[in-house]
Amino acid sequence: MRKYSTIFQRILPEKTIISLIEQHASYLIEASKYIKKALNNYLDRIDDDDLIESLSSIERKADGIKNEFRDLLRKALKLSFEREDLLEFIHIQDNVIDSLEDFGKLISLNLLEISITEDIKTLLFELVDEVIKSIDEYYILISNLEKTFYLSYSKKIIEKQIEIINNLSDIEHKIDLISLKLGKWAFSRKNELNAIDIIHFNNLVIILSKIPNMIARLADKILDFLK
Amino acid sequence: MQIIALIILITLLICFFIGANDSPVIVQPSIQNNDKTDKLNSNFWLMIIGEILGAIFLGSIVANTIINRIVDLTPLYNNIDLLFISIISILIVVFVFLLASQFIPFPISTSHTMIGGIIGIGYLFKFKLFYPAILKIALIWILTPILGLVAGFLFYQSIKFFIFKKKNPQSFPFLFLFFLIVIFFFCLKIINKLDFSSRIVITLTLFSIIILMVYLFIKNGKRIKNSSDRFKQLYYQDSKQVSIEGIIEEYEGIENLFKPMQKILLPFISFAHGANDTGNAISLASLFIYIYILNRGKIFNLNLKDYQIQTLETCIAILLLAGSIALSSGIMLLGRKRFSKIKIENLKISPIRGFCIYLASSLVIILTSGFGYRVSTVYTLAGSLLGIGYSKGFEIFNSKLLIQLTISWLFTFLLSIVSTYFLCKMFMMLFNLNIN
Repeated sequence: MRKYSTIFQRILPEKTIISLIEQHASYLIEASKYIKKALNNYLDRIDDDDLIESLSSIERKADGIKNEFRDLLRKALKLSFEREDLLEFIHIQDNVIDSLEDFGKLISLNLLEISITEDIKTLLFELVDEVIKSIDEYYILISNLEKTFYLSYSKKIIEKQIEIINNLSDIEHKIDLISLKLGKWAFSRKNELNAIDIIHFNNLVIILSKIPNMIARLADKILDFLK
Repeated sequence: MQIIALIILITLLICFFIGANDSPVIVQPSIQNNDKTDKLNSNFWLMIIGEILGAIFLGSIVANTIINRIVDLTPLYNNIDLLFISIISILIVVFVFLLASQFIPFPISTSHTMIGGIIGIGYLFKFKLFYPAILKIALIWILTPILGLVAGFLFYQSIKFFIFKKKNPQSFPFLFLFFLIVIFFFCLKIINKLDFSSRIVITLTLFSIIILMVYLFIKNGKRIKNSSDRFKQLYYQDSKQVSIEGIIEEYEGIENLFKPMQKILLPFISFAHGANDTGNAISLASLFIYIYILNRGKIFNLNLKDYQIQTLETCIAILLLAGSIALSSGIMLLGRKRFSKIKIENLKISPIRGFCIYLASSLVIILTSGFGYRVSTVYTLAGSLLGIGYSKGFEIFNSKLLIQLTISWLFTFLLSIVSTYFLCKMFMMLFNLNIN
């Protein structure tokens, strides 16, 4: 059936900024589902190429949305937010997906030769859980963004959004503490583990611990949008 | 007699296609995603009521402007053949432009084409052109979408202020009504200089809008109060206990209160559209029939006095009714079908935004039509939509469309002058007619 469009369709584009951000963030959620499996593979010394392929495929799809987002911004349209802020926002959100992919790839590069103690395993899973939690909370923030806009930045909705942003800040702090503990543990074993394993382990922890930092930056940007 | 039939036929076809082209745009802000199918029919019927009433009550003012205020056509009154050629040339150009608008990305305003056509005839026969009036009309064309933009911006900002920025939106209906009543009195002040009948029609129209709004606010008062009480509870209890979904639901409840008000405004915007577009479309046909009757003195060998077809006003009134019925047929037969092909789910016009678009546009169009100026309903609606965009009602919108539209108006206007000029000249050569 031939579609008919009116002058309103020419004023309001089919895709909106927030819907594209939300769509892009949904890939973040999808990618986050693989990091626990990746960690299990690391600890069990399993080389899983399919996992890397899945993460790469998600990253490619997210890139497609990012390009669509940029194309929309490139058009001479009037925006309710600053163009530069939006470009920076999507860049950071895309970096989070890239980090998750990097984590999957980095894990596959080096199989551990020594076993990791149970308490460190617990800490590692705690770290991954907190990262996933921060991504989930962030997604709630994003999925409410459209409603926040639709309801014209209603005071009470903004208050609730700020609560989520504060939660994200707490998670970030918690992750900082866990990653510090893990880093200290790794370097304290410098005489027992080989240097490559230590650096590799430390890089994995750094990649994961940077994700909540980026999410906190995104949350701050959202706070700016809400103001 | 055949020439009258031909002119009436083209006029009614113009009315039909105006209804088919404009109705999807006019009805669009009143339809949300979830009520596309069930409310569609009732909204189109409401539109038809407005179109017919608008044509009958306010259409003659617009028709008189088209006939009397653009070009002095009186030298043609004694030459019925030349008058016919002139009017048929204008109508053909309008009709062709109207059909062409289906295939180009911009809507074409029939008023711009019609007025352009009359000016083309004026140039061809070197008639007296009323330049100050033409300039005023052109200014109003540019001004109405801008006024729609300003009004849309103000209405949406005020709703944001009265509802969304308040912790307790219970007081919003009263404050907003007060705001509307102030606007109502402001409008009454503006129309003070108009003649009595125009003043009566505009006052009654605006007054009915206010009365219906008050009625709906009172009717929905209990819902608003309940909603507001829940807001109070939400506000005073521990905010962590309240989910964001709960808050969103409360605000959406208030959004939904505006749905019936949108529905009430739909016939008013159609009223303005009916007055403008039908008045415009039938103006030249009325003039021709009137002059024909004056010249020939009779139709079907009947004594005209018995039928009281004596004045231009009577011709206008009869054709307004016929034109509004043709326009309504266009709405129901073609407009509705076209609307069903619109991908409406992507157009996020909430009830409050739709309400603001209608309120802003109907006020602007009813007032300007009352002054006899022919304005475009579609462009004013577009202006109001942009006004909401500028008050951050939409995340992203094409703000340059208004400029693109202005260029397209100018182009349509100039092209219709040239087309009518040459078409009429061609007909004159073909039928060997001369002004002298």
